Amino acid sequence: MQPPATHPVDGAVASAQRAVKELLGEGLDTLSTLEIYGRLADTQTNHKASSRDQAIALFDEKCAQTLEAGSSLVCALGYYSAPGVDGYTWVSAWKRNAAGKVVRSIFDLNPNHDLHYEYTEAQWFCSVSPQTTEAITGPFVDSGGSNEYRFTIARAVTGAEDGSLIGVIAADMMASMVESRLRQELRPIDGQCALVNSERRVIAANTARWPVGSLIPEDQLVKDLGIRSANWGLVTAPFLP
Amino acid sequence: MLSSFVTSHGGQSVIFSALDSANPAQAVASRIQSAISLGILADGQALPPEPEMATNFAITPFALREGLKLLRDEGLLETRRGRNGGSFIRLREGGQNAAATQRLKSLSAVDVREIGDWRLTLMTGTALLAVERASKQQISQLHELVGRLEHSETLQISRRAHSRFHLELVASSQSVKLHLAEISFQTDHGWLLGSVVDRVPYRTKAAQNFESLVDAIGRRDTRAAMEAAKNHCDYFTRYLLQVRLAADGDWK
Repeated sequence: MQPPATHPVDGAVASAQRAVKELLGEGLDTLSTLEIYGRLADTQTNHKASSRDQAIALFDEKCAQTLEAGSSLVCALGYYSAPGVDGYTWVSAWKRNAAGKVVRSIFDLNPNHDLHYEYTEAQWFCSVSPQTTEAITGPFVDSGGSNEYRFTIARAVTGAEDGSLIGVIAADMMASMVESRLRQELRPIDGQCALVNSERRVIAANTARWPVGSLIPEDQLVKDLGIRSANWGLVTAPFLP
Repeated sequence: MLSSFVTSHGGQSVIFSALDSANPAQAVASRIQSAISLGILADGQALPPEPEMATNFAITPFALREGLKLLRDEGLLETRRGRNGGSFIRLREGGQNAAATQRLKSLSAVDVREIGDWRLTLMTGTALLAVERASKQQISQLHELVGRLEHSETLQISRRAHSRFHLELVASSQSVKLHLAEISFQTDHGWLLGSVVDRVPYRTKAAQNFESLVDAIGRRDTRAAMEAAKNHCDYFTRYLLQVRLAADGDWK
């Protein structure tokens, strides 16, 4: 049974589209406020250890504050430095714990450990560059990091002098939270409809036909509504009785 | 420093977590040996105090001491008395492999088959989902890891490529539950995996098996992927059984 359309079709699509934009905006807002502190701390890594530690401590504080005050949709926020010329790397990552308190995320970053978190190889870390400054990855299994099913919105931080990538600021959203919010928005749309990423992986759908995280097969015909936010798009299939 | 041992290093919280086994002493020894094999515990490193370990493993102090004794007998652990005393990891050249072979000898053929069966269940289930869900990018990442395993120059690189291949395969299935099962498989049986990945014939064959699996995933061919996963796990289990028999000196 199709849920009854509460809006005219175009209106429902436009309204879903607005909801997607708004959701992405909540993630992006947290990133832009942190960029300056990330760059500040990272450029200090060339200087004395004491001023570097001071700048990183300032970032820690701002990052925890931003997560605390920001959207409840963002469950983790952090800075991950790109390996520098001197090999020095630092991470300041924070998360909301089960009780809703903001605490530091602890990862195994020791390169001698086979199961350590090699974030520089993670798709979300590689999704940005000095040319592509913002990108969203997911849903994906955050292997080695949180080990949860998530999205990551990443923002490149580039050096003030040569514009090279010095680090990435990342905000995570739980796939389950994104789905439950967007599912409501897809309900009024006529026919089977899904929000997919550029891999045609399902983010949310108004039908049991496409489970979250599955890929819509290439041979399955769907109509691309041509609506994009970041790399996300809405697709529909004709209603099959 | 010792009190922060468990919480200050991400990787160690998995290692020092509750054991679920009918033979807790054996399980303690396997878990610690896996941690050594995965590089989480290094030569000379101190283990946490015994009461703390017993609590974290959720076993009795008696069972813990039995487990530590097994490791001491295998020459992987040294216990010193006195003010700066405690249990320390001790690694000698080839010592890890010798200890793994000795441990393998103590497993029954049923134990080995159980490990193989669990690997088969995890890997075929994962392959089934990966055929439908792996993105092109994940498929090329898997190919890259097979290449790393095939052309690895050091044992550490090959062990890591082998471990990462399994984790990446699970990630491509999009299943968090399978991912967690794979991590606990590796933390429970890492010592065993390490000792077989160190052997060239296993490594070469595993790389071939993985390559056909990834090819099948790329073609979205469920039957071929299941077959490749099954072939690999059959090979893995037989290889373990052979190494175990050879350790007894009477394999055919």
